[in-house]
Amino acid sequence: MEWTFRADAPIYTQLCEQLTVAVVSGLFRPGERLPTVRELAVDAGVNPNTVQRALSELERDGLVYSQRTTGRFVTDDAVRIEQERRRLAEERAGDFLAAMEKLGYNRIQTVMLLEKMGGEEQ
Amino acid sequence: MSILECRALTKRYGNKEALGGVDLTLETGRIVGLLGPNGSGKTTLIKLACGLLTPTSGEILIDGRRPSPETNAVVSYLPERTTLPLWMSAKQAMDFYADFYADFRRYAAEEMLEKLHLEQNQTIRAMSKGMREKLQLILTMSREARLYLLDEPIGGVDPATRDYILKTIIANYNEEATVLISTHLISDVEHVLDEAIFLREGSVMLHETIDAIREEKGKSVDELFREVFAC
Amino acid sequence: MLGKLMKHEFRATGRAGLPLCGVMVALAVIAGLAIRFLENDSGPAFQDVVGSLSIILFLLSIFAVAVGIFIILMQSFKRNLLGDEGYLMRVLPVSVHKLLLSKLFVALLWFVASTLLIGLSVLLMAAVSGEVYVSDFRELLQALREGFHAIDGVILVQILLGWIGGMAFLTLLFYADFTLTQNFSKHKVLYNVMGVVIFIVLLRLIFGLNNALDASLFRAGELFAGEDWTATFQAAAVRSSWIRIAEVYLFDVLLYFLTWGFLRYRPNLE
Repeated sequence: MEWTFRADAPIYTQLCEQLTVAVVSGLFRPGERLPTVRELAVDAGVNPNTVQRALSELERDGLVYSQRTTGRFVTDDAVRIEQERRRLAEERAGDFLAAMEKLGYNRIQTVMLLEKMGGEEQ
Repeated sequence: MSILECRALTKRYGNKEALGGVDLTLETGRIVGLLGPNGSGKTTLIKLACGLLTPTSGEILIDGRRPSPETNAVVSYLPERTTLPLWMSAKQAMDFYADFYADFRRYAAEEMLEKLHLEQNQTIRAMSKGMREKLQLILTMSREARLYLLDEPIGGVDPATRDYILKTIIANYNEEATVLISTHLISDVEHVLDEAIFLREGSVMLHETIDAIREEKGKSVDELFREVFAC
Repeated sequence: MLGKLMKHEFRATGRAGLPLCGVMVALAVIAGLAIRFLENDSGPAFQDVVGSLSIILFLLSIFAVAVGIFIILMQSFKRNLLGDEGYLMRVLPVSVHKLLLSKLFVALLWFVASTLLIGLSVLLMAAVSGEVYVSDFRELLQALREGFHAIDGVILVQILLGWIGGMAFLTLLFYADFTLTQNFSKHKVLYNVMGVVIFIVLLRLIFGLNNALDASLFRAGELFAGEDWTATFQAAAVRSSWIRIAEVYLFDVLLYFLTWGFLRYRPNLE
């Protein structure tokens, strides 16, 4: 898995987000067992405590649950995952719109641009 | 019980004060960065923890005890320079560690030797600087110690080896141990650290978790360091 | 741990020491052969030269071993405890006592062994040369045995103790010097000179004291002697030897703790 970290936010929040994206995009399937804290830490090149914190957040958010002896698993709850997908999508969209506004595009112009690009692809 | 504690720790060399009134506590299960420019006292602090130097005043305690052969048994030190006898081969160096350190895990060391393409029978004299550093690091990290003191572990090696070293530190992590990494290559190690200590001219300027620094200052530790220690 | 340290020290010093001894033994054999085959009046002149040369080389190698072994051992101490290797040795989970004693014991063992080896090499050369016959060896052994029986066991013990104490003294003197001067890197020469001066003054003091002691022991013996003059003389000699041996060991202990103290409390590795 590819990991990228920005400088201005705590790593655990970024880990949270990237793991969420992984779940939402299906990289980690519902019910699938997640790698161990150590494996994730080595893969991402980050401190295990940080990974632990991120996973705890995900647990709190209901995207992940842990079973004492067997490890951590992605939730089976498809609705929850869909919820998260929606939330992330809206966030991204919001960021995109804000960025376009900075360039001087208003909403309508932005939508038209998207339609045009969508048309070209087909 | 904290694994390392400094109370008003001071070390003077004649007129020069290398460390002045340092108060510091390190808990177990952390990876801590000791960050500061050259001459800020990082190496002095580490040497004091090993018993290679004695304090001018104040105290330094390992697991509540003064540095002694007993504390040396639980402290694994990686010096900045090559300290292994040059006539030894990698295998003999491992024999040496196995002889004196009960917590030395030989199989782990041999595995790492292989991964880093080091020959067991090659003498240290015949090794390049980078190879010597790798060997010393392997020996240090193959011990199951409670406190690892790494003095500039990634300074002289290539980026690929740097990655391997950091991954090894992560993989080695256990809750009973603490790793103190002294370095000035902060951007490389930042993701691996729990906490950062800024050391300037023998005094602790800052001791925070990485997360707290990023949250409060809105920038990475590397960026903060460059700001604080700008020339 | 002490055993392991000694093993390590033997390994470190043997790398240079064993070849050195080996060369001496080889030269002993060569010299012996040279005497056997070359040292005859009938051959060409250059044979004589080669013969003499090999003997000279052998004698030089004896000197080299005697001095070289000492240098190797002292260098090992300096490098292993006071140089970069000190970073490795002084963080081991062993006390400074063990570090010091391991070095001292190994040095003493080397000195004894190399001395014996020198003696054996000379015998080897003699044997190889054919100038000396097996019967000569037997006679020599017999003479030695008789000699030992003649000497009082006490004297033998004194000689042995004195020898060891003396070697330890020289060794510890160097150890102390290296360790102390490491702390005063600024004025190494000055401190060394001061040390030598103090040492000489102390020696003369003790020398004078010993003389006075001997004289008074002698006088005391005279007074209470009666007839048996030689017995009294011998007894006085033995007594004063004990005192001298005790002095050497006292110095040894002082030097040892001086070195230990500085290693332990003023490590100050560069």
